[in-house]
Amino acid sequence: MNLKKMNELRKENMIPNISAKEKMVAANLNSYTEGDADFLLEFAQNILDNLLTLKSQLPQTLLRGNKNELSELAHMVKPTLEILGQEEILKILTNLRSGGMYEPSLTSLLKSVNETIILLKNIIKRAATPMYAEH
Amino acid sequence: MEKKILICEDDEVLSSMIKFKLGKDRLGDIINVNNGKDAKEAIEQNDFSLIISDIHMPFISGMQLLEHVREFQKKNTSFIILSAEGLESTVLEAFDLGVTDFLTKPFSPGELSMRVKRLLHAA
Repeated sequence: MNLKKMNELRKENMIPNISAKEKMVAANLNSYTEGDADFLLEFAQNILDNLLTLKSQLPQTLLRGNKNELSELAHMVKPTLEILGQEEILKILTNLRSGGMYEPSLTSLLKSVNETIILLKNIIKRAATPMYAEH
Repeated sequence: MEKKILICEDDEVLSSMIKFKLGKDRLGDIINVNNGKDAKEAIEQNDFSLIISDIHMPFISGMQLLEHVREFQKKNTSFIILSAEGLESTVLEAFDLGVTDFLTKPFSPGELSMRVKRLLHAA
């Protein structure tokens, strides 16, 4: 393998240093999974899937303005957000659900969801790759 | 013989967490379903010591499932309702229908496990 290819691979697998927020989420996940590495991966992946669904469905659901759909979506992600300790996202979502303002709530909601998705992906990478655990 | 536990929860995250914890604590033989219709079928085909059900589920709600169990199945099957909202009226309705225990989400896996142990040992 040439040096360029190796550097590309390194870059793809690069995980940033652990932030305080990631530490908090990782601690929450650890308490639910009781240190079981295999279950942590499964659990974090399930949570990630829920957040990806929220991210993809939320803009269209709001556009359609169907309160039932929005309630269903909020119901679906509520336990996930509580487990993650992401009360802020839950608060914005509840506000939107009860007919609150879309902007800037929607923008900040999607931003927070995106940040949490990245953070979870990092946690999954770290859990799946022990060599990254200390970084 | 291992006691049979039915988990009816449409949220994959919670369902996997409950299954993991109860399995780890070796509390029984666990069957998972994600809707009320499948739960009803599983109840007809198995003799469960305990049923843990979310209140908000597709096809048949946790309350309807509880009503069905109390009406047609063994009266002494323990039944725990899980609910995102602990409204007093909902809790009272559940106890009126014969629920054994009621847990409001979010709950810790440890708390659920303790309650399950207590119910299974009392049975």
